[in-house]
Amino acid sequence: MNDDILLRVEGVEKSYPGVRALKGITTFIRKGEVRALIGENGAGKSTLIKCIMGVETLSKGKIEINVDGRWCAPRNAIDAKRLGMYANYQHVNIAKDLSIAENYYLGRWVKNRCGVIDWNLMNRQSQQVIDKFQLHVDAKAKIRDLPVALQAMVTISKISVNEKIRLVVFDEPTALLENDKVEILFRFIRELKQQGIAVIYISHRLEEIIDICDTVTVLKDGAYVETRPVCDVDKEYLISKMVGRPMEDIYRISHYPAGAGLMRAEGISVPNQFENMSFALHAGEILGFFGLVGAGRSEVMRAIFGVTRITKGQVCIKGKPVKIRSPKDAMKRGIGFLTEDRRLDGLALEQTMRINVNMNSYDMISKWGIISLARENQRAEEHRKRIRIVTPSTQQLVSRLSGGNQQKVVIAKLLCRQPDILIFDEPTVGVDVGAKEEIFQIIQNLTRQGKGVILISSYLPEVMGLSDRLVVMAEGRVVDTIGKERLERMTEEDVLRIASMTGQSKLSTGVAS
Amino acid sequence: MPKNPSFWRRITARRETLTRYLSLVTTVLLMVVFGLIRSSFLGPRNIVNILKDLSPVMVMACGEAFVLLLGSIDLSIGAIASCSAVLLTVLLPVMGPWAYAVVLGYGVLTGLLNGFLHTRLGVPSFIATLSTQAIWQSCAYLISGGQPLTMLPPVWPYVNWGKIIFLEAVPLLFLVALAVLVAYAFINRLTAVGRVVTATGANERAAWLMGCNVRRSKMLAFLCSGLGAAIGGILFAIKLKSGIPTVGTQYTMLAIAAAVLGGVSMTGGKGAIALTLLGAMLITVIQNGMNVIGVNGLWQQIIFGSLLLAAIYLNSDKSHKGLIVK
Repeated sequence: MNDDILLRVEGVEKSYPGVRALKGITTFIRKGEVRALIGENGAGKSTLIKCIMGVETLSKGKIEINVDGRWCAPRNAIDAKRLGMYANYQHVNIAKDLSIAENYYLGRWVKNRCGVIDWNLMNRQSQQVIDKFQLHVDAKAKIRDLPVALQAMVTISKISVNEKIRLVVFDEPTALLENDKVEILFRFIRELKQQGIAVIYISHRLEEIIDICDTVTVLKDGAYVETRPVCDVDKEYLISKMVGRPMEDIYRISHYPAGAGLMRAEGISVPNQFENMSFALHAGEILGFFGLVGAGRSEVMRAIFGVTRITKGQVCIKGKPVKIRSPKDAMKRGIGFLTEDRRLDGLALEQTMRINVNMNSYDMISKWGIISLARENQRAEEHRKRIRIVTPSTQQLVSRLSGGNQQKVVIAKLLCRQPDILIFDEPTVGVDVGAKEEIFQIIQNLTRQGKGVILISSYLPEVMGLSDRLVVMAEGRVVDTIGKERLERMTEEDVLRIASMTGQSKLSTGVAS
Repeated sequence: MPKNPSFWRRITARRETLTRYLSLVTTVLLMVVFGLIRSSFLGPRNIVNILKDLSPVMVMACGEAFVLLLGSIDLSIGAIASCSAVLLTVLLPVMGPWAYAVVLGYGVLTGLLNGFLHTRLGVPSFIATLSTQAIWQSCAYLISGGQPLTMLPPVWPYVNWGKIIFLEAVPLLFLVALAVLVAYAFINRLTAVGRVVTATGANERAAWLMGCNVRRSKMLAFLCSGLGAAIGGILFAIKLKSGIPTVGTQYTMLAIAAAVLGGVSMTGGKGAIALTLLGAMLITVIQNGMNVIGVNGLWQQIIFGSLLLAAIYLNSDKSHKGLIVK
């Protein structure tokens, strides 16, 4: 019985400063089992995977893999690979300037008799793998030149090149794939299963899970909910376990009547990211954006903010067509952008809270080009009180603050410039419930002041609960724009269905206004 | 090695504070030691010497600190200083005090060139400045003919201000250097461009996404570095009353060491320009002290190399970024 088990996850806990990401997860995975892992964003799926793959160290508990009867715990990522554990992460994670064959054999080059790397052999073998996955490309093709879907397939097929595989993790493997490619992936997974390899499969697309997996584990808020055989469950049941809790009060904020038009996008496109996007934002309104991974929500906002260049279409602000070439331009036009990844894109972590808050608005507190330290401090203190940033002093390093407070620092920084249009991209990622509620309050106050808020979230209760209107995106296009009344009648499942384009919902590229 | 793992964590946690006071404490300690060995070390005459020696290093170090704050590095400052010293010596007889303006202008241009190569052409800063270093070094040799040039009596009136000493202990040269330090610290702390330099070093992407003019700040940092090097070269020339084409060579490393000892992080985004004073002081005291007690000068580079490594070790942040130089 015990021989049958491949992976033991026992009492795993993981905490980051300010956040408990995993709260005691215990589960066992058998050889040849395909285990689905589902949960909302922030439920801890990715963290658990990182722990299993040795990328993150555990705070508590243990993870062990059965290596021919011996139980081994991977100490780090290299160790995990040595033990036969492979992962296909959510984002394409390969060397883009190398060829497919070079990527397949990266780090384990095959040498010929003279001790020289045998490219002919490797190219030949790579071609066999490529043919097996029906990718119809040359093994020597550079990854960069391939479309994203093919790049994703290369990372998937790369796993099959390895020997002695024991466990494979797929994190949202189908987010970027078309239907025929998904079929190929499933064939690969069944093949792995026959070889007695265990598979962990993460996906938001529940039909897929019911189709390919044997068992399914539900996580919620970093805690283990349950594990069940797939034959016992259906989509509705899974959704109820995953997202079906009653909408909590935190989403109940006051809404204000929409005022004049603030911003309008007319058929804007960025090649390979999104096409023909049209929507409008009014004063006092919260416009939600929802879509599955890879739907292109953040990409649209980045383009509007001048991070990437819009190639087609037009953005109008307060009725006037504008060309935004850089974030600086965007800010001058009164747009504020809360980026998705605050650590990477939003904060100078090793600087004080005071400096971070003021960083983008020195011109507003300077005279003759000289910054007034008094006003700088006063402003930091003001925001610290107004939006309740919990910190011993404004001189505290931002890296020492909790996730929620870090997020509030970024928001304070945005507010310093007093923008009319605020784009919040995943404002509550890695933020605990209390801070979430406070962030929603801030959003409410902004709309009361007549500002327009665009809210991007992968978390359905949040985006459904807060939005006045909801734009649903899939594959770089607007699939539907749902008004408040219709939104109130819809369940999360309805929206998910629209977003995954599996339902009968009428496809409309309609202009929202 | 102590078994208790928290011991090391405590040390690493304190590392920041440790480096901040390390230079100051070590400087004082060394002054006492050197003073005990040779009482003349602490005499007013030697204090003047130390302050004079300190001036060029300090100026070069605060320019370098600007670039380090960016997370970049400027390896050309030594060559720029040498070239400036030679230029000044050559130009003083021809154009009198205007020579100073020309050399300062030259410093600005060298800095802008480095900045241009780095920001517009996208050459990594250490490659860009390594190349310009070679160019300016060669220029210094060519202009001087490979020989140290001496300032002749006719130009002495233009350089004699270097001999002025206040209160029998504070040379004017040092006050000039101090003024540069204060100006640089002011730019870094109290102007938007200067603040953006630090912000860029801390998180370039975030700074850009916030609408900061990252490129302008990078240009400013390299400009300050070039100008600092040129002023350093001028101070060398005045102090020695000659233009030696190799005078700045070893000071690239010493300036980096001084900035790092003053708490500037090699990965950028952390540190204060004013504190380079402490780092420069430590270096000068070691240099001067070893001369006074008669240590073979050939040993000095070993000491300084080790000192730089130690300073960078204490200052480096091993938890986040794997990069040393961007």
